[in-house]
Amino acid sequence: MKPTTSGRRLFADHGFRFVVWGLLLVIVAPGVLWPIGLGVGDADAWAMVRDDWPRLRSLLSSTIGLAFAIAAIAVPIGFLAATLLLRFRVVFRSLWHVGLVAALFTPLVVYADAWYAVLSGLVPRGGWAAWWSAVAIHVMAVVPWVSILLGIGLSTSRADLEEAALLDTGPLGVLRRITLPSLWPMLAASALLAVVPVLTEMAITDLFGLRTYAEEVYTQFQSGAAEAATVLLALPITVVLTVLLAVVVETLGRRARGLRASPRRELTQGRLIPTLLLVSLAAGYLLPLGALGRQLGLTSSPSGEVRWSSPTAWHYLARELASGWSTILANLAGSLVTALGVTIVAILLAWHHRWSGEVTRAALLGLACWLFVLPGPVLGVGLIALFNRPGYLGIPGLIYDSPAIVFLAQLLRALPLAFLITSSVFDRMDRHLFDAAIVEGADAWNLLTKVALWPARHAVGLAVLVSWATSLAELSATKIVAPPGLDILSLRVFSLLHVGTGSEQAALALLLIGCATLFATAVVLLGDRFRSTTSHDA
Amino acid sequence: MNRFVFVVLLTSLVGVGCGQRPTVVVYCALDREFSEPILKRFEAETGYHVLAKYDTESTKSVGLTEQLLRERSRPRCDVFWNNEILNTVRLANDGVLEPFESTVGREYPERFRSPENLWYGFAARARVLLLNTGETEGETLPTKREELTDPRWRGRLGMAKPLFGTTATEVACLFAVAGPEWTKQWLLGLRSNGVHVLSGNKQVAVDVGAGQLALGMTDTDDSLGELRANHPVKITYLGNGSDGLGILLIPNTVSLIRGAPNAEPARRLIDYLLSPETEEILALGPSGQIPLHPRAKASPKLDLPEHPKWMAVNYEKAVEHWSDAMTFIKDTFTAP
Repeated sequence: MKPTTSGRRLFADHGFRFVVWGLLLVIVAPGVLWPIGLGVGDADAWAMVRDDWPRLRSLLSSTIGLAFAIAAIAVPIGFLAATLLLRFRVVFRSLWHVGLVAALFTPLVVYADAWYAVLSGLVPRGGWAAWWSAVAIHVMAVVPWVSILLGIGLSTSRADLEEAALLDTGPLGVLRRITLPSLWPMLAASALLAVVPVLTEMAITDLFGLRTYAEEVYTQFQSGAAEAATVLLALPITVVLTVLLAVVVETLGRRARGLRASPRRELTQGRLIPTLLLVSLAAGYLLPLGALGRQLGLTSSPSGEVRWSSPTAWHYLARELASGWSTILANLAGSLVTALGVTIVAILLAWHHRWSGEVTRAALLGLACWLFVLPGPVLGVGLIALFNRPGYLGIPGLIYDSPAIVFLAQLLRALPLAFLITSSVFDRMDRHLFDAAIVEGADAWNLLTKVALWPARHAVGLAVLVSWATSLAELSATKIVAPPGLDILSLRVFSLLHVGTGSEQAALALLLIGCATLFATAVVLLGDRFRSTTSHDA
Repeated sequence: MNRFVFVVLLTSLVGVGCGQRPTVVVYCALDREFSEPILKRFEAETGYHVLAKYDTESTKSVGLTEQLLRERSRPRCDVFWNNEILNTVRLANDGVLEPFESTVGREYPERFRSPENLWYGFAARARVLLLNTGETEGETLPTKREELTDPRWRGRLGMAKPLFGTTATEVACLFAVAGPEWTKQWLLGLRSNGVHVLSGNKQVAVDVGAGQLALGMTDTDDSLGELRANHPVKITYLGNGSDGLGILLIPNTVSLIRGAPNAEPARRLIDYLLSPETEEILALGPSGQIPLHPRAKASPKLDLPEHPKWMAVNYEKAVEHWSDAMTFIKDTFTAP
């Protein structure tokens, strides 16, 4: 949507622009400028990278190999799940949606926990076992994202062409000849989405002793390498991914502008086979869930006999809930505050994006993509370098020593998704909605709060929930910047994964999965309302 | 109205700030499950409020050490409770620690305290080889480190990432005791023998307990966890024979940070940690630490040899090898 001249003037005349640029300064400084400045401006860092190039090249190839395997497995599975949910009749469809979104909100380290519970004692230690375990965990974590992205593609694809083709061929033929070719941008986007976590997260690769770029940055930083060198390591891959992601998002955005969600169309009337296929896919998640339940109640007798007992399971669950409920509540409250902050910032940036010219729009989109693909450890390093100093009136130091630095880290990690959700809705709003208000003399704030927010309320709610879940699960930047005395749930799970006993780990993981399911139910309910509103508006 | 809300918020914040108890900030590398109960007892007994930052297993002790080095110009930590010794000596050499003459600290053997009162060692662990009894049944078990490079153990041995934690400590100590060349050859031998490098010592012990590894180089506290869970494991002490390098004993260390914002409560916490009572709690607790204070009588169930031969390592000398050892480790073990 191109901005109108009056819209540009509207933003030039009011304080809105200053607020947005102020916010951008706060976001861009630690998230973009400082990491780049740290890395690029240091001659010693360049020398280190040059000397270390053979090792770094092998790191790069191992990272790409891992990413390729994850995308190659996750995209077909995600496509199958999305197709079954949107193109076939399945029983308890809403329940499947809740399961899908719950899987989306389950933290990555919980997947690792569940995977450990399945494989414990079954698979010998070794390079390939570790490699495939890391692939499997990442696939489990990204399939829900891929499914939802492809689901959006499926729900906006051409219904008339599919219906016409159904006269000549069966459902699989329609999928192969019509649906799949029309989905290629979404497939590209989902492949990209599938590889981002392994390129930016270190939790899983660190656990399995695999060497990737993000893991290298984390290890180098923790073992005392210069901050500049560690940041410089990660920059090339971040730049490439940012450009790729921005191109894909912009392409998808352009295609989506003329499209509206169409009513669900089924290619067959039968329910049994599609439901069975979905159940078999879900087994990949239910099996680890069951293994966690098994691990929760496992006890060993002095004679070495291992058995499961429900009192043990209840004991650990109750103990974890009793000892950890205050931590869980504090984390839920803290990440809710972060999510509200994220959503406010996202709304302001998305609103500015809605009314800006091409250059500013591209810059804002680029910023969102940069923050999305920036490895968490690099963000952590940037924040520490920026705030671990007395500075003006001691303000940076105050931020460094307080939960504010965690708030900032989680805000920067959750902002891209919230921005993409809100800007996609603002961009699709018809400008005629605003014309009357502009003629009446409404300024940018009035226009946003009195005209735009109400129609966008469900997207805003979705942005809050997604940011809430993202903040709650954020680990790689939080781990580096967390100040003393702050009990952070994602760190606790990560730590238990390394040092805890099986039952403790399982209890905490199951409680987090319970939280994710509650989130998911709320999101599905909101999503249904959002869909019905947008269909009505269309 | 808005101004009123602002004033109320500000007053509340000031009120909360004034009502706070005296605080002491601790960076703690000992596992949280073992250290948190001790810190809670200190809080209950003294009324001080302890703010702790714990390490994670995968970057054990080195992560916090590097953070203290980064914060040296503006320290926020008061006490560093390290679960090993070499990184504490590194901090002492770098001027990050403040001398503190602890009355109870002076009662510890000279070998376990800094001559300048910069740090005190207490409650030690030993480096051990943990065996899965099922996986090694009927086999001749190793008694010396060099036997781990025997092809019999190819792909059956595990160790933690040697850049961090007590595995890094052991490597630097071996550089000092057996010499850099011997240690490098030994590590290369382990690597070519397919040693599995895991994220931490706990992971090594868990995998041995589960039978995924036959042997694992780890610490006594992690091994005790597997013994308590009734897993089929046994602790072996390498190098205890007359021709061996000895068992490596690694004490916890506690130190005061130079420029600590809360120095007085920090001194009290250090005295508290060094007390024989704390050592006894740690000895009888799940981590089974070995007491070093002459008055601490409790002893953990570790099946220590009757006449243990401790590795004769000078920790200060070992620190001199730290940088070379880590460079070698990085080149050898951190390539894909």
